[in-house]
Amino acid sequence: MEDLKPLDDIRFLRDVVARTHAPAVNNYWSVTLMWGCVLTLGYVVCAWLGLEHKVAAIPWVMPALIYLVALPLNWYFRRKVRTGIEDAGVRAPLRKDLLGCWVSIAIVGCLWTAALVVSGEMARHWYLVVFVWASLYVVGFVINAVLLSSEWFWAAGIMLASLIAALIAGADFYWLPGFCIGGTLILAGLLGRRNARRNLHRQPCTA
Amino acid sequence: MKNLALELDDAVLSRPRLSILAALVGNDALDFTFLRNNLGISDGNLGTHLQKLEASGYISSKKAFVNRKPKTWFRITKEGRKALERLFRQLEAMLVQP
Repeated sequence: MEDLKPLDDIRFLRDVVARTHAPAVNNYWSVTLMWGCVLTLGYVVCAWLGLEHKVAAIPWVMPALIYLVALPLNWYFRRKVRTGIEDAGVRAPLRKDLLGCWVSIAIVGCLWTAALVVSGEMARHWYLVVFVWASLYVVGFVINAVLLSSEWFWAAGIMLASLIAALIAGADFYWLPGFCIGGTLILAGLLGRRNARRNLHRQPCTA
Repeated sequence: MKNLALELDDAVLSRPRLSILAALVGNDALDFTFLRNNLGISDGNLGTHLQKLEASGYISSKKAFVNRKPKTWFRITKEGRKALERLFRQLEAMLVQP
């Protein structure tokens, strides 16, 4: 007790925390990348159907891709990443804050989409749904950047820039924010992969 | 003057036990091998310190399989969190005491 040095103990604890607590990286970058690829593919298919005047099929493309492709792949990749992390000896806490954020965004987006469909505005101004979702994604990306990892600032910045560019450029460019939803997720996935790999190696400390 | 050092919790005070609690506080659970590798404590020492913390009710352990490999997971309990917070407050008080 006599040789107790509180400052040394606090410095030592700071070292322990730095080595054992999860770094601010997105270990689930593969999930992000997969969602980016699926949403980009869905958007391209919708655009192609629009150009081919097969408008009746468009509302089914995204739900079909999300429920039949993205969600099973989401389950598979999440499980794979979680098992990998647990194999390394860490069971990370459930990020209730991030989960709450994205569930809220999905609910708000679905309610707005339903309102646009029911009011008939979607048929007259198809781009409104794109602007609603793109705006919600900007908010989600900023929250991800603050709570998870810094690469999401890039995604939020590009998403916001695409919204502003589309508004300035006019109706010919209203497709841009929708295309950027998938594109920015792909970017965030790739940057997340780079950041996660940079943080792979940690030096052990001595107690 | 009151001797604050005498009021410190011995179960948490040693550096290995303090480092185990500090490592566990930011994660849901950590396994034995991770703690050994990242805290630089030998197997025998780590086992003894973990037993002491478990006996004090500051951590709990659970055995499970990951990829068909057995792992012993350790998790900090509410009492453990409280003990760590109490220790920080006491250390802080010792630092500001003239």
